[in-house]
Amino acid sequence: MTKLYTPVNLALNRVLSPSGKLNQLSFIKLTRAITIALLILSSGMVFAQTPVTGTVTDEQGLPMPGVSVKVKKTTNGTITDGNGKFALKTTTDVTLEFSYIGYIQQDVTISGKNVVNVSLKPDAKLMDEVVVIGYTTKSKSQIVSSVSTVSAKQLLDVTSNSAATLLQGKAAGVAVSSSSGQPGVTPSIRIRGTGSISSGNEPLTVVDGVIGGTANPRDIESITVLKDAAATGLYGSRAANGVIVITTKQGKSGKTSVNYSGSFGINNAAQGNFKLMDGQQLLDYSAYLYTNDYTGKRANFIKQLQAITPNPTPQQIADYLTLKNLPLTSEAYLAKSLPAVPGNTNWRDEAFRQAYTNSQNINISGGDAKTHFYIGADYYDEKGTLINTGYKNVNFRINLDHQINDRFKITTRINTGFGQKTDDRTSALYQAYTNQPWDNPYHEDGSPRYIDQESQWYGRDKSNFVFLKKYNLDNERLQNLAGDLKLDYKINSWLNFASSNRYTTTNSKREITVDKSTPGGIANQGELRNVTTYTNSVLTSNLFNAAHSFGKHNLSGIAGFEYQQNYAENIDAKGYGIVSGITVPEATATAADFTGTKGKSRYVSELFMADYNYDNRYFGTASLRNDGSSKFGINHKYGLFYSFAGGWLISNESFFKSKIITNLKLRASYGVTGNTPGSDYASIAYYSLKNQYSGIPGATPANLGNPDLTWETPTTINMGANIGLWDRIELNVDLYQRTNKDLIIDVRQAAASGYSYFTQNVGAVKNQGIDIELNTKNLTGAFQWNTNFNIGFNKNRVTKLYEGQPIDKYANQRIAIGHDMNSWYTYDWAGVDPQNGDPLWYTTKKDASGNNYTTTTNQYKDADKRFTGTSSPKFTGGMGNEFTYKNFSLNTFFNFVYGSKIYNGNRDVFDADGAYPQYNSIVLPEGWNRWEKPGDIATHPKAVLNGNKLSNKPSSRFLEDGSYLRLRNITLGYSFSEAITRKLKISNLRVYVSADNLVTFTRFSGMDPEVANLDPSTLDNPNPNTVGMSGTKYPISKKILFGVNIGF
Amino acid sequence: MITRYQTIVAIALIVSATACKKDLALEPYNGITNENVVTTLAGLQNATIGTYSFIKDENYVRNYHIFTEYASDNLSLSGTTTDPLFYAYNYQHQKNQVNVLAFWRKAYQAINGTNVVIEKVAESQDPVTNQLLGENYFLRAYLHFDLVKIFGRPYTDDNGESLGVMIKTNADAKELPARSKVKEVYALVISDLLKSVQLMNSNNTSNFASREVAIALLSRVYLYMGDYKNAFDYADQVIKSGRYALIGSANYPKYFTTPPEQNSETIFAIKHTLKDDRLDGAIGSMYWGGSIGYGEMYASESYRSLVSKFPGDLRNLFVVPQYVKNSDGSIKQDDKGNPVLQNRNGYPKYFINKYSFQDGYETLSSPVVLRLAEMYLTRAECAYQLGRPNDALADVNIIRNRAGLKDNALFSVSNMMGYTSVLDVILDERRLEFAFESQRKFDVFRNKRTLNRDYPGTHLASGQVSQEIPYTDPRVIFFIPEDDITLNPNLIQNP
Repeated sequence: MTKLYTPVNLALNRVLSPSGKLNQLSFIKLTRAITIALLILSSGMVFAQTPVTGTVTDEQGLPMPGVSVKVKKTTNGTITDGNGKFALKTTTDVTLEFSYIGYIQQDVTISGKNVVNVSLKPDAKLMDEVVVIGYTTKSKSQIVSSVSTVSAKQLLDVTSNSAATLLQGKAAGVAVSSSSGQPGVTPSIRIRGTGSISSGNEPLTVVDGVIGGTANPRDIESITVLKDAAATGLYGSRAANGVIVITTKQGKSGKTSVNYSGSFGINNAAQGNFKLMDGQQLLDYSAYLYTNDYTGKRANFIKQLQAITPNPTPQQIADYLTLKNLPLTSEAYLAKSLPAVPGNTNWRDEAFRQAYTNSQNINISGGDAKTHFYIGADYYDEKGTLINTGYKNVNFRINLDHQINDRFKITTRINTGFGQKTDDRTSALYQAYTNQPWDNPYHEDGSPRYIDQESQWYGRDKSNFVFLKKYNLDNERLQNLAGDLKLDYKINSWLNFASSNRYTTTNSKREITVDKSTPGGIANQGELRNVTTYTNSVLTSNLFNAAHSFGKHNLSGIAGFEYQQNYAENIDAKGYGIVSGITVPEATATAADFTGTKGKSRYVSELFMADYNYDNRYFGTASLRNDGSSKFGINHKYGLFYSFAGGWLISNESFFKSKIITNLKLRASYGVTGNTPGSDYASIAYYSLKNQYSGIPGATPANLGNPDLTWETPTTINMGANIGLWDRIELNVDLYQRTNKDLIIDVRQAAASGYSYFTQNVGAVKNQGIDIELNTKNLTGAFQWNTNFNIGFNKNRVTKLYEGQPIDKYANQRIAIGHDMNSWYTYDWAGVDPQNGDPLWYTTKKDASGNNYTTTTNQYKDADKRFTGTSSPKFTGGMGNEFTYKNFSLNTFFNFVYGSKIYNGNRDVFDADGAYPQYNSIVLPEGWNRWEKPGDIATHPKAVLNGNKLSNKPSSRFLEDGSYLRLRNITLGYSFSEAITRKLKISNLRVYVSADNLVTFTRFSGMDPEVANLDPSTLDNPNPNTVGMSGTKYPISKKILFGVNIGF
Repeated sequence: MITRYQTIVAIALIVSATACKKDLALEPYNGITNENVVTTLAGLQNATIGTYSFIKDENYVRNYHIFTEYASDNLSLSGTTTDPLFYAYNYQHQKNQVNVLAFWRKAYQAINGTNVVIEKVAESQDPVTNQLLGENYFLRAYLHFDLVKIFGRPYTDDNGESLGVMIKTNADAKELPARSKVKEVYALVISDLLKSVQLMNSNNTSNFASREVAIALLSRVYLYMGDYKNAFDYADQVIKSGRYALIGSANYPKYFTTPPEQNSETIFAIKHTLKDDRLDGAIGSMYWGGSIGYGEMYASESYRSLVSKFPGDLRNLFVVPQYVKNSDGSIKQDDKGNPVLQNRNGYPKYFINKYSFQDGYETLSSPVVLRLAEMYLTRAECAYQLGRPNDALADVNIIRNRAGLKDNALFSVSNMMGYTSVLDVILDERRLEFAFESQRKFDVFRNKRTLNRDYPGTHLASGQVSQEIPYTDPRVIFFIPEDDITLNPNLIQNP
């Protein structure tokens, strides 16, 4: 964790925020000071006294804006401006108090002086970052729950405009993974493992204190990940999977600052260990397959002939073979299917290209004592490495707050984004893996060939994406808008009321065409499909926020009410018969399809929290939330969620005096949160009207309905310690156990029930683990070296299921008691029979006395399914290193995943032992070998035309080690010295070169070992989202970018 | 002042909180609650349409076609595929085949739909209610019959003594039956069909069940049981009902591009509208590789040699050879002047057009389940079995005549055209007439014959030249989906 706090970070705007906890000593003082200042300003009261001026500087002599300057024992005061200067009218013989969060307060008696210059010294004890933990803000030393923070600086290394992508590897216990390297793809996030089977596993996002929302990474001030129940408890039924709290930047009083940052660079697709055969290699391989096929067929026909004619002459054999349409020689047989001279097209080079990323951002912020503003504008354009793919986005944010008077404050925030996404509709990705090198996509004159079913083409799919790429479109337009309006009302010195309100709306339109000039468009004379989506969400959150101190007792609390409504709809419409290049619906000749859905859900919540600390040594907190949701059954609309936590800051004890251990805190928490069903209407028994027959609407039983359906209840126990050594090493360790009970499971029903599933609260999953974060300052001085390291270990076990019944997830995974939720359950590969090269699988048989024993079989259907590992990693994490020398800085960031098993699913077509002779095949990597003759000990069975006894069908054969270590980013930067920036009349100038994903260490045989987590909402889909699966993956991009940051 | 503010805010909060609570009851936009469906006639009518929509569902209609037709000797697959249709084609059934599970589940889902209506509707004097009830009895019989054909051994093997499928005649979601014997399932099918014959009175189009549809299905059920007397009588009733007419030879080649309700010969078809066009997921996609389809499954060499014996046989037109074209669009010829066939992976391309081009859309078709020609050929087979071979050949000739065959191309006792058995004549005529219509496999196995697939195709392992499936082969039927055995332990797996 890096300090969020910097000397120029005033945090003033949070002072009166109800989401801020006002229990910190200096905070209260500051509050008082500002209140006074504002009172003076707003009331226009003027003390007829002499002016005192001065400058406040920090320990390095830099001016400090925003320092509270107050006349002791009065309400008279002000704050310093952007240059650290202040002016105050006062009587001549008073004492001024200079206070600033994190600094030791200084009292200066002016005794007649007109100019008072003060240098403030940091307070080591209070040099404490302020962490936004959702509804409240706390100084780090007072936090007794398990949270990880990521600062803007840590966040922005990899070039991406997705905050989730940037979080990868940055916080312990937070596993971010993506199923695709395509620009604009949203990765999935798992905090401390996967806890739910049928409901959501993605964490809740909170932006600027309000549930939901998005933020451009460059507008983000900090991200806090809330992990244990003490931190998430206040989010109740929404918090089962942890909470990601995003705080956006705010303007600061003082000089207006303008920051520009821009970067531009190139992207190339990573290839990993994946290698396909070239034309000659494939020809040699195929010739072997076809020759064996010919030899066998010929022998069999001769056998048939011999049944009629015992000793056939060569002529009789030749006549018989001709009668049966078998060529007389294997050469002639091969010529039917294989080229004489192989072509050598590299399809990967045709499908992928060198692309670019262009990221431009400018933000302007500033303000005076009453009003602060932040305006951020961002442009991001990433071309995909795969043809036709790309993503562009423009984002604006305006954050504005204004102190109306000493009691009222208004804050508005507007965040809006306009995106464009293009996708490929030519199957180039799949074909890059499978097309045969013998086929040439181009005519001799270099123009692309039109390939349809009738064309001469060796490959299976008879499709040339090089031709198609300029015709078929898939363009998506995305818009989102979120508007916040927040009113703060300061009721008295210890009580605030705040009403936060947000309206969010998103809409998108996707336009997909199949051009009539393409093989696929001829039948329907071209096709145009439009998919539009619209969502809106209204949320109001109304909180009382209290804070009071009695001597060494510090007490604070929250009481409030929230209401949220979410609505979503979409339309998917298609028309046939349209002129090439035209994309307007009214131009279609025939309306072909018209579908769409609507859904709505509501939440009502009451929440309470109390927080106590004694002398900043003993801490206790308790929270309670009562949540109602429309998704629950009529009998259980409400749920009660609570948490308790306690902490002991040992290093604040008077008996604890250690030069070595500078910080020591022990923490413990316990709490119950919740998870709502994925479906809006899972509790209602109803018939669906989405089916029709013969043009008449029909009703089909959709849902058994469960009036008792209610929330899942994850119970989390967390124990942690924060240890600081020599002020240079910071170690945070957390042990946790999260038991999700009453899991909402779509319990599969036997076919005879007439239903696919019945949604019930059954089952339990336990996640246990350790999160470790270690930040060290290895070298200080001229050459600085800092390291941030985090690692999260998690063990997942299913502990209870409906009547103990396992749940099979598509073909190869099973959820069963005592196993990890993401367990593979496949036919278990037993290798290759050395005698004949047959595939072998394990099977169970009974011996004469009826005992089971394990043996092998070459019959796929007789093989046993077994647990063969899990796609859940044993641990994940990241390590960042920062080296600084003079004006140079070098940052490296690695992320790693260990112990997952990945199913490389599409090996069943490109590593198929001959089952797909019309697809290209991989070159076996080192360590793998193919059976050729009796006695061979091989990893790969004998290659046989059209397949060797289903050897390529799903089994543990395709499970591979998914561990990897990736250099996510390396950046070398140079900051120009002040002499130069002063000359240029700017405040700072930095240039850098940055590289993403340059190196990945892995044993995985595919292009990339990174795979996505399970999406349970797709379980009942015929093509569920693949968990731990890799196939023809859109590979991740290697990027090299040049960038510049300029501050004015 | 402060207290006043606080009070106002507190009151506002309490009011808004209570006001919102009742808003937590939300109903789906796309549905009707169960009570509102099962308590009204309109709701039950909607639910009945829902059951038809299940039969039209691709998990049902496409998989039924794959399991029955792909396993015949009419088809030849020109390559390997990841689609589990491959296992149905090459008899490499798997115990957890996803398409088998999908079909099995969808069938019982539809059966549940019929049971809800049957439980809620009482027989009455009201013709509308009776028609509704009758249609549900018909659909329940239809679904059980499809299931028992796929998962239970042919009735004629052992008079239905082996295990069939679960009989489900109530809407109790908790009741998990064991498999009944094949003969018990047939008994239910027959009793439901007889009830539906009594109850139904409407002259609906062939897209829906009506009295004659049930009678026609009865005829097929009895034929599959080897009860030739009953099969004859019911087929005869349908023919004599006068509701249907064989479409003329001139229009015959366009039979399958005509929407069923406009086709005088169609007794029952599963209607697909443009909204149901499944494009490359359509049945026709595997048969016709034009603009959308895959075109991977061709008419087998064995079928082609049978149908091409009579070049004038209009049924040749349902198989469309694909020729290599010259750049000017003309058909390329080899050095002997023969047109050059296109091939896929070395297999000559003979497209099949019975599932394509309804209303002109390449992949749109409404699979025909029952049509009048079947009644003639069922009557023929029964007549033969009942000892009236001349009657049998007369019915065969009606069908041949319609197929454009005249004079010497028609059968008589004196003109057997090389056949020695009238039954062989009838079975080959059925094969010709109902090629690709999900009948061939059953015709072979219910007559205790061996399916001989001695023609090129990827059903053959490398180096092999033929595949023979005797009717005793355990893979004549499919495995019960393993997944459902887990959920319903009363189920016993097929050997």
